[in-house]
Amino acid sequence: MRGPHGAMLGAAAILSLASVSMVAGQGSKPAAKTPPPVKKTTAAAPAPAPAKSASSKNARKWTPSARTPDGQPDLQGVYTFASLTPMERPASAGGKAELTPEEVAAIEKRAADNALKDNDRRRPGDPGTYNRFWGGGQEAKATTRTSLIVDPPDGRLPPLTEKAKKLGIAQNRLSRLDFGPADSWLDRDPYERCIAREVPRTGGNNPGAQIVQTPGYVTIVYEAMHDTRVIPLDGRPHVGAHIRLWNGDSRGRWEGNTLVVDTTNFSDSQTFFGAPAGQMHLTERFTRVDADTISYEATINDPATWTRPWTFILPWYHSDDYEEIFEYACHEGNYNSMSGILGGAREKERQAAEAAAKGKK
Amino acid sequence: MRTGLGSAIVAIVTAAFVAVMFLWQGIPVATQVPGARAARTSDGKPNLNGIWQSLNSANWDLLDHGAKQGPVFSLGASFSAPAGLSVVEGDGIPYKPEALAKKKENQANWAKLDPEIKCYMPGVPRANYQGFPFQILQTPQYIHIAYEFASAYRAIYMDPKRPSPGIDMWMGFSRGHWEGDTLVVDVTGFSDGSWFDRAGDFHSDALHVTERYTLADADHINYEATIEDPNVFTRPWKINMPLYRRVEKNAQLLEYKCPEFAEELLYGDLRKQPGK
Repeated sequence: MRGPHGAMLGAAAILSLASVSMVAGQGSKPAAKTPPPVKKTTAAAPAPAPAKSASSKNARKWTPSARTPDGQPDLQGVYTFASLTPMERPASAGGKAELTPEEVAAIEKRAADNALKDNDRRRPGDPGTYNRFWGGGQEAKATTRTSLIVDPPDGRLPPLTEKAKKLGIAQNRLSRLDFGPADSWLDRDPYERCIAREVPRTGGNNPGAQIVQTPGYVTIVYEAMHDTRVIPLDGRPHVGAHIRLWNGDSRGRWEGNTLVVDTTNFSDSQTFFGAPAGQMHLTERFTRVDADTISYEATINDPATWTRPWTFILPWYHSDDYEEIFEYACHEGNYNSMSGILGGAREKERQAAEAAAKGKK
Repeated sequence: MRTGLGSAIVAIVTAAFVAVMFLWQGIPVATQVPGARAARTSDGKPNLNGIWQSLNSANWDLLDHGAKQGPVFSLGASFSAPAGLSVVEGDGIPYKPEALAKKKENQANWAKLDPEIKCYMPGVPRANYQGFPFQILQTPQYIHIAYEFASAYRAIYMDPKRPSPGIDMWMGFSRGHWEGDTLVVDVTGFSDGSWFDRAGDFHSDALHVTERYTLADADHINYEATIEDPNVFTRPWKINMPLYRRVEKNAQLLEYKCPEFAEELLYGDLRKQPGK
């Protein structure tokens, strides 16, 4: 990579996730200040997959009968799961589940036009936040539905259990990221601590993954948080209940051309939608629908948090702008961010104590 | 993430494998999965697929070292350093004089300075002899290595002409090719962040590593790494060691997501103190 693109890559590769500031990690080249010019997306979005890039420079060959050398249906490639479609159906959809192609095109055009604009809702002194470049940028696509959630049919998360309500996890997770307590790093989200992203992944920054298939395994390599899920296909049982994992313990099997991945043994330190994930049983279904697109369906069954299972469908698609997975040195660049979060909280406490002492005098 | 210069960058993965004849040469198969333990892959290369691990104490010190008391006295015999023979070929590590001084300083302040302690990505070749398992996932176009430590990973692109992305990376930029039955990996594009061991052996961002992976038999790889860094060393030098296959039927990578083990060390002074 050369020029501003290369420098931008540097920043992307060592993107630090803490919400308060974005820092370049050790060993990084200086980040470019100017994003690359906006590339207009092509309009039109055939259902149900996201609009296909008409400008695909790298011809991708695939037929439904394509097999890897060891006989697996071929899912391989680098994909992005950036989506303009919200997880839950917004009230503004007026109860409508499906969008017309014109509506999808309008959503994508609006997003592309605004993709690289500064998200300038910052408060004084706030270093600012990510624009859509980091979340799939101008190439991000919308689905033909008003929500990623397809079940329950109203496109909304099912009601929380009484136990989950008591945990107070209904609050918006992002507000927790921004303003939550900071007595210790343990108060912060695992994402902000550069330990783990949510499983299943639902978007966010650096939303790319590579699927690698070798005899007996399907492996998913995620860019964000440099995580690899090596999924055995040999029918072995899950690891014992005492082993709890941030990414869970995954076992795969083929049902026709669909890879079904069953994941349990999540750590309770892991979260999904702000809830501890320890009781979650995740079922993911990967089905390649054309050369550029995988239909990714995830069913979350977590009786500790939700009163019924729920399912979302999030397309994974090829993008000419996301053809390679880069190193994502998060923790390596997080020192200034986490120190800033905790140090800022301590400074606020110091100032409050000082003000209180003055008030007493 | 974003390439932008598509014409200069060949796609890592074109859409599908070209169906090639499946040359499954049956050696005793330990799993029910066809091809998983075959001696050769579908494209006729030595099959490096599997979970591997080193079995030495090179991560303590690449050179000869006696056993010594660990840094945490209260952990006594459980967490002290084992002895080990040098894995460096020839007469030690050829440091330039000023670099040798830095190595000694690193060694003296190891517990403060070693990036491994902070859970930073280990770099190459250290990731291969930290003592954690790692899994090789081999395809004709690229070979992916997933490491249990810090969930580090690297892609080895089987295209010696693939252009470098031109950015520094902890795990470097790896290009591979086969020389006979040896996988040769050329690794450049390093940051200067990682070390080679807990003895303070270090490098600059000019590091160039050439690795050679040769299957000795079904369960052993002869691993060699030639290390060049004109900022730090007077000449190239080489390490070698065997890598051992984890042969348990249920072997799998687990997690060692160590940021959480380093947070008290890194941020402990910024924790809210009781009573304040």
